[in-house]
Amino acid sequence: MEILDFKETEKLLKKYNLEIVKTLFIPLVSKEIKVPKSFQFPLVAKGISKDIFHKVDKGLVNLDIKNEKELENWFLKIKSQYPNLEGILVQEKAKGIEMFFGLKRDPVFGILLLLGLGGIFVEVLKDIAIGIYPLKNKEIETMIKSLKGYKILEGYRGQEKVDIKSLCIFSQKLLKLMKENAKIKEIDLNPVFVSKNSQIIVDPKFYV
Amino acid sequence: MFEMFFNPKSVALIGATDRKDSVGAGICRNLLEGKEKREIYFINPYRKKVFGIKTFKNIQDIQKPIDLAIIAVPAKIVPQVAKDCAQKKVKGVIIISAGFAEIGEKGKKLQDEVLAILKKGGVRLIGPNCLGIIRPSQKLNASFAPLTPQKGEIALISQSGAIIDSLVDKSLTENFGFSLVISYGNEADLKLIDFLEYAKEDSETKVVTIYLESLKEGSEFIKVAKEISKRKPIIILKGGRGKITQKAVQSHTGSLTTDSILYSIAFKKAGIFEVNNLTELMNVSKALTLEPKIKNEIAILTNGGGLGILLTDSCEKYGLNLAKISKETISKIDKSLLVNKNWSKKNPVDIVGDATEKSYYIALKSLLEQKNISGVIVAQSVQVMTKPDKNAKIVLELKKEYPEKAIVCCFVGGQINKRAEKIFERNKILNFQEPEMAALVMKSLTYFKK
Repeated sequence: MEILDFKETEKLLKKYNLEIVKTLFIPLVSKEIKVPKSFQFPLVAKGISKDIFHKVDKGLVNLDIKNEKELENWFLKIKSQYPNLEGILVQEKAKGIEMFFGLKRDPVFGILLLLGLGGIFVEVLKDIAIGIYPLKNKEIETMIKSLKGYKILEGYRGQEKVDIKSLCIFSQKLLKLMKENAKIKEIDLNPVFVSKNSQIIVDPKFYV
Repeated sequence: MFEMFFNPKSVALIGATDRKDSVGAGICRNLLEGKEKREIYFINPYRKKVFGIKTFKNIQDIQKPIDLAIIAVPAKIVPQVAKDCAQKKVKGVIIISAGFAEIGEKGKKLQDEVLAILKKGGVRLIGPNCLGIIRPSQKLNASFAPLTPQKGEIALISQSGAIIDSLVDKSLTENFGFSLVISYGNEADLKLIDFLEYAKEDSETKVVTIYLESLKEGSEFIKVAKEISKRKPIIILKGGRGKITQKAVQSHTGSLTTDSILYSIAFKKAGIFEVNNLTELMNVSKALTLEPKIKNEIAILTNGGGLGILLTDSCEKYGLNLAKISKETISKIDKSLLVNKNWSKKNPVDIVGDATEKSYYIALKSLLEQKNISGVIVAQSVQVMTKPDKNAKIVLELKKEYPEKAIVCCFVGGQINKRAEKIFERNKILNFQEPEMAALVMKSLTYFKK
C-alpha cells in the first residue's frame, strides 16, 4: 500500500465536501517559498511522501513555524534529508477536539468505519467503535455514544458540545467516498479536529 | 426448491455398505428409519445386498425417478458419480465425502469440477464435506449422525458435523428436538444463507440455531439474517474466536480490528443473539421455543437472600431491568398472610427462608398479575421448610395460567432438589442451577421483538 498523492487527495476531499485545514502544498522541486498573506503564523509544516506512514517518527513535522524565513530553512533541511519526498504541506493550526476516523475494506464484511477520540484514546486505550457498511445515522450515533471518551464530546470543561448529527453526516461522506472509489483501500484521518458543527481534517491519508 | 432435500419421495445412497462402523452403514441405517415414508435405493457395484436390500450397480439402473442422491464414496470418483446423477436427472445431491476445497487447491479444483457437472444437469448440491441433513418430522435422516433426534422447533444449522452429532445426542437426554438439522459443509452450491431463507419460511421452525466458524460473504449474511431475526430468533455460537487477523499492518485503521470483534459486531447488526458456549447455545435455543418473547421488565422471586443477590448481579450484567413492585402487588402478598411479614417488599422479591409452597403461590401469582412484569425468575434454595417438588408444581400451575409471561426457574440443589428437576423436565419448564444461566436465558427472551 502507498499513500495517494496530495493533489489527488485534495481533489477527493473537495468532491465529497470534506473540509481540510487551510493548507498550502509546496512541491519539493519548488525554488521559492512564498506563503500567501492570508495564512496566519505560527504555522505547521510537514513533509509528505507516498511511503512514509508515520511522519512524526521521522522528524517530518514542525508544529511551530513562526515566519517565512523559518519555513524556508526547515524546507531546505528536510529536502536534503529526504530527497524523495513529494513536498511539504504548510497548514494553519486547527482547533477543536481531536478525533480519529478510519475506513477499511474487510474481506468478509466489506467496508468498515472506525472512529474514536484522537491521541491516547485511540493509541493507548484503543477506545474505538467499529461499524459495518451500510450504516444508518442512528447506528453511527450509537457507535459514538459507546466510546468511553464520549463525555468529552458532550462538552467538557466549558467546551462547546459537539453535534453528533453533524459527525454522522461527516461519517456518511467518508463511507460514500469509500464506496464509490474502489481503488482506495484504507483511509486514516488522525486527527480530525471537531467542534460544534465542523470537522476539520489536517492529515488525510488515503491508501491505494 | 428444497422439497427434494427435506421431503424426498425417493432416496438413493451411492456408497451404501454394511461394513461395521462405516459412514456408509451409518447412513443406510438412518435412511431405513424412513422406509415407510419413501423409496430407498442402495448403490454399490461390489455387493449384491446391503442390509438385506438388493443393491444397484449404478444409479442409472434404477427405473423410477430419484429425488435425492446421497454420495458417500471417495472424492476422486465423485465426478463420475455426479455425472451419473445428472444423467439420471436427480433433483438434489448431498455429498458427504471429504477431500474437496477444505484440503486446499487440489481439492478446490475437484470441487469446482463436480459443481460444474451438477450445475449443467440442473442438480442442486449440499456439501461436499458434510454430515448430511435430518428432517425428524418426515422421518428423514440423510446423515451419518449416530442417532435421530425427536422432532421439535429448533433448526440447527452447523458448519461442523461433529457438533451436530453431540447436540443431537444431548437433545435425546434433555427432552428437546429439531425441525431441521443441516450440516452444510463446504457450501459449494447451497450456502448457509440459502438454509437460513428456508428456515425463515419453514412452518415447523420457531428458532434458528447456528454454529459457525467463518463466513464467506459477511454483508450478504447480515442482510439475510436481519430479515429473519425480525420474525424468528437466531442464536449463534462462533468458534475460532481467538485468532487475531494475521496481516502485515502498517496503518492505524488496519491494526484496530480483529476478526472476533467484527463477527460480534456483525451478529449484533443482524439482530442475532450471540452466545459463548454450547451449553448457552442449547439452553437459549430451547428457551425461545418454550417461552414467549417478552419486554425487558423482570422480577426475581427467591426464598433466600444469596440467590437473590447473585441473580440481581447477573441481571445487571446482561442488562435486564428489574421492575418496581407495585403497591397493589405488595398489598396482595401482605394481605394473604401466607408470606413471612419480613419479606423484602421490593425486587428482588425475597419471601424469606420459611417460605412454603403457599408463599410461592401467592407471591408468584401476584407478580405475574402485575402488568409491567413480563417475566419472573423463580429461585429456590433448599432450606429446612422448603418442599422443592411442591414449589415446582406451583410454578407449573401458574405457568399454565399465565402463558404470555415468561418463567425461568433457578432451583439450586442436588439430592433434595431432584424431584423438582424431574417435574420441570417432564413439563418443559426451564430450570437452571446457575443463576447466571437463568439470567442469560431470560435476557434472550427480551432480546427479540415480540
